[in-house]
Amino acid sequence: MTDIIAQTQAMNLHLRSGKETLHILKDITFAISKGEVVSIVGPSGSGKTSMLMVMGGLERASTGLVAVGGNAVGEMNEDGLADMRRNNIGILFQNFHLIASMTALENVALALDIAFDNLPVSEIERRARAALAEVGLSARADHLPSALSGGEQQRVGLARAIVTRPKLLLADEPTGNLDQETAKAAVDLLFGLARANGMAVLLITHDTTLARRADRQMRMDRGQLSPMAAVQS
Amino acid sequence: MRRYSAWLRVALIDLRGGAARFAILIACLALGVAAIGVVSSVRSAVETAIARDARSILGGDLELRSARSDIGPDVLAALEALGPVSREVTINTQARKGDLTAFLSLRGVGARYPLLGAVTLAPGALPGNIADLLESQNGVMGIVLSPQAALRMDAEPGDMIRIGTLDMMLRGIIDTLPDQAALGFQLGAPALVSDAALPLAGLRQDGVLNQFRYKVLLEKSDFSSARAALEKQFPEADFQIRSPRQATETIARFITIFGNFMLLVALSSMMVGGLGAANAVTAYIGERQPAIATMRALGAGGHRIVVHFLAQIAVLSLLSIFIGLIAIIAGTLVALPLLAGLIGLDLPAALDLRSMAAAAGIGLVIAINFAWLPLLQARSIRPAMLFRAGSSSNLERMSWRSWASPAAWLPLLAGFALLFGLTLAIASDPLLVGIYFAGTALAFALLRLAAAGLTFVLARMPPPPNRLLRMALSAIVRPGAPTSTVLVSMGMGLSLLLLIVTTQSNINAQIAAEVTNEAPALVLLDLDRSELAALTDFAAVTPDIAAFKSIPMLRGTITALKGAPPPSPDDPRVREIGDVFRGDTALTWSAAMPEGTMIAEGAWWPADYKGPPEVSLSTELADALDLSVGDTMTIAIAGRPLEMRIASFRQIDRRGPGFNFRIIVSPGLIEGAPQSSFGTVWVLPGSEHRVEAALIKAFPMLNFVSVGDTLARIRSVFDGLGNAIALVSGTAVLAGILVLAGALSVGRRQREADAMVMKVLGARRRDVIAAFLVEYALLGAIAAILATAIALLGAWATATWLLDIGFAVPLGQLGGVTLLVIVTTVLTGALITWSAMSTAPAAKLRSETP
Repeated sequence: MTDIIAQTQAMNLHLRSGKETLHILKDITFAISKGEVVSIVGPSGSGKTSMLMVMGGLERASTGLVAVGGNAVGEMNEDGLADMRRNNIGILFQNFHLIASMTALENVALALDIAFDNLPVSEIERRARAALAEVGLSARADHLPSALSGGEQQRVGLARAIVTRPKLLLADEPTGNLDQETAKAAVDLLFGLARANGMAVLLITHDTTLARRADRQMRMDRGQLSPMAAVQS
Repeated sequence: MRRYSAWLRVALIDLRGGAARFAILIACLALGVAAIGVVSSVRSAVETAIARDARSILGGDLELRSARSDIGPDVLAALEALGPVSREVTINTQARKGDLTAFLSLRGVGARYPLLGAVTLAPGALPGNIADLLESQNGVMGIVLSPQAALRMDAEPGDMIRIGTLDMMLRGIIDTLPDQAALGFQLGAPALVSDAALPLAGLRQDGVLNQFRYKVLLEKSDFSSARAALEKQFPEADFQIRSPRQATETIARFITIFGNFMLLVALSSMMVGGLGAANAVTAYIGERQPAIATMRALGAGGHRIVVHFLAQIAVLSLLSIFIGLIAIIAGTLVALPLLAGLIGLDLPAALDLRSMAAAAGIGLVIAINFAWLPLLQARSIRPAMLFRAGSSSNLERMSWRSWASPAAWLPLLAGFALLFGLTLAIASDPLLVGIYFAGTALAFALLRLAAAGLTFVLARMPPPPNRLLRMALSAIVRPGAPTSTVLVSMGMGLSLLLLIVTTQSNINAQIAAEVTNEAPALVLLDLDRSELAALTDFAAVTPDIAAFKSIPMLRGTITALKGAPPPSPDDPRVREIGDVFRGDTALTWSAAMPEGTMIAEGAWWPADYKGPPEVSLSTELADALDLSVGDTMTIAIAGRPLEMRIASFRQIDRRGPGFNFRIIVSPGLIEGAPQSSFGTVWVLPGSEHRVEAALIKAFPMLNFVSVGDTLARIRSVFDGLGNAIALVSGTAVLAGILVLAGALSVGRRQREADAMVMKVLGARRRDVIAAFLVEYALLGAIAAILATAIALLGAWATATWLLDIGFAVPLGQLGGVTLLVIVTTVLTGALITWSAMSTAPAAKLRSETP
């Protein structure tokens, strides 16, 4: 199992809402290997996004083990988690979350800037341009996000997510704000780039058609994760 | 290093296009830096000029001054042996042109005046140097007058002016005198004549308020040895010797104290600006939360987030400081020539780099210190928010645990210590700066508490039946409303302005109280027995004179206390009353207890007392000298020592009308001693100038002080100082208004959302605007009430403890300023609302879609 990029064992997530404690994730044991694409489907509020956040070190599990790149996430402080993310993880958001004051190129370069302390500016720009070329947006490199369409913004987000060559790409409803045709193109690109770069992808989606294109399909229901096949059977 | 330069590069990229949103932060900081820099630069220029021109200000290397009577020929000969000497006599007298009069502090100067520096006259003066203009030309002596005196008599160069019994030609209007700053406050308007003119005018040179000054340009010795030689040669002489440095000490001290005070007022503008900066940064960080969360999701640590935004704030602060420095240069270059004319100093248009550096440093420290807390909040923004819908642009409150971390309070503490140090570097009075910092912290805490308390109470009040009021109140108390910010920032600037307005009004009221019917209109000096009799008759037949009273005045030297020699006047234990032991001192005698006397201990002698001499002393003498009723005091009057028993101690109210002699002797032996009298004249309202003119006509050689004119001069000095303070404190209010605009525009997004929802729900445009305006009017009114309470507390403390004057609330002025604040708040709010209302609901709804 040396190929495992990230895993959880008997992981639970409890959140407090007023005086009430909500059990968001229940006893989840899960692993994702190098180059593997795993999709998780499930209804709204089932805990899919929480699962993604825990895997990315954005939310701390209440109990159980979470490890990324062989290191236990639970023992890391906030800055340690940030280091873990920049060395291992790329994230693709449903709402893109591009920085409005930066051009497409600068948004992509920002990820490199954060990930590598001593990379020369020229090298950062070269790699950022190359990432934009990979997503077919060379011509729009100097445009601000407000001048880009939704599909283009998502492609910039994808370029930003993969430019540091993370081991694990977390994608949260990456097509949720795109029309069908644009969504298909974006997913083709996502899968193509992930496979070409040997990245593992954990894909959260409502779209079962999209989910089926993954190597493995999981279902989240009321905080419990199970293989899609088991559900179907 | 490379890492940090990369971080800085990204921070600058991220700032692009956002600089305009920081207009208020930039304006607040630039205004504060400019106010501090201009005040400090101007003060520094004045202090430098005083130190540089000390000899010109004194008018020589040594001044020998004798009050009341001239020095003897032996002293004059000793002075002339030291170098060239210029003599001058100052007399308080009246000038007359036709029926118009002016009260003058007239200086009779010798031909050598001025030994140093030059008199400058306003355009229109007759040709010639000052000595020529004052000398006799075609048998007519000359005079030059201050602009106030010339205006008072409607006189211009070439006109004839009567002084005493002599008609003189006005040959010029004074622009500046080289020694103006060393003269201190003058009872009358300044005027110069030749000293040869004084006897021709029949003016009596010896007199209680007259001064004889001799300025010497030392040729053979320095000041210390010259002074030592004179004191050795004339050990008993009753004169004072001053060096240029000593002559300028008083004005230098005044400039330092006043300058420090002005600097602290300017610093208040900077502090209010700091609040504006804090608000702007909080709003900025609040709106940038998604970007911060994105950076954190990409792997940026908290340290990087702090550096990123700190770098942006530092860049914006440096831009503000640069603008502030340009304003300092412009302000200083404009202020110095204006001030030079007013105070008679040569103030070259030069910049004070130390002041500019300190102002810039204070600006930078305040910007970063006030932005520190929002920066810490930025550090704790978590990337998880990117996955949660409906996040607000308001930053979460800092938890107590965050506060306890040294990373939170240590830099703040260090920043305020640095601020204290920088303030001390330009306002070198640790006690004053300490009191200011404590007072500011107290005002801030009070405003903050009051704002929190008020919000708490309003939130729990039953909703008012009026719909507009209900909506306004709910907007004020809802979470995230800028209520506290607006109240604190407006309150800080406003309370400072109201404090100054109230204090200025109290000072003016105090001066006005001196010229009520209780105070005499004229004080007549140095009356001999025949003049006293003639004046008593004159008063009886002049219908405009309501009353005429006189009081004898003698001079005596205290030679013993309780049988022992008296203390030295320089003994630190008797510093407050030391002057009574310096040469001879003024005293009076009276059979009856003077009106308004308050006996603290002992008893007044019977009206027909004929026994051995007794004396009544002021309580300050009793306290300083540890005297008791029954002790003895020996006073030599006209060389004859008289031992007197202390019969009583009196409380002296220096604020009341009339004379306040510290020593009053019982009638008897003393009545035969050589003495003169003071006369006081009360006139019917509105007849002051008529009585003055009649008095000059009947008694041309009389010296008298016009109380109304003197108090008007005092008032004009206080008004000038008050206006200067008001000008600087105006920048604090302007900063407050900027902060208000900033705080309200921070809520603009919320306003747009509110307006959109209200419009979608069918509210009419005018309903929406009215609801907002009621809210702003309430905010303005609450800020004004809180600021008024704090200002009145401060003004009361200032009046009672610092100035020792009466305290009254100037309701009219406070009401006016309060109204102005409410109107300003409503207008600012209206502008913001108008802009929010211009967004169509559809556009707003569309922009909500990602």
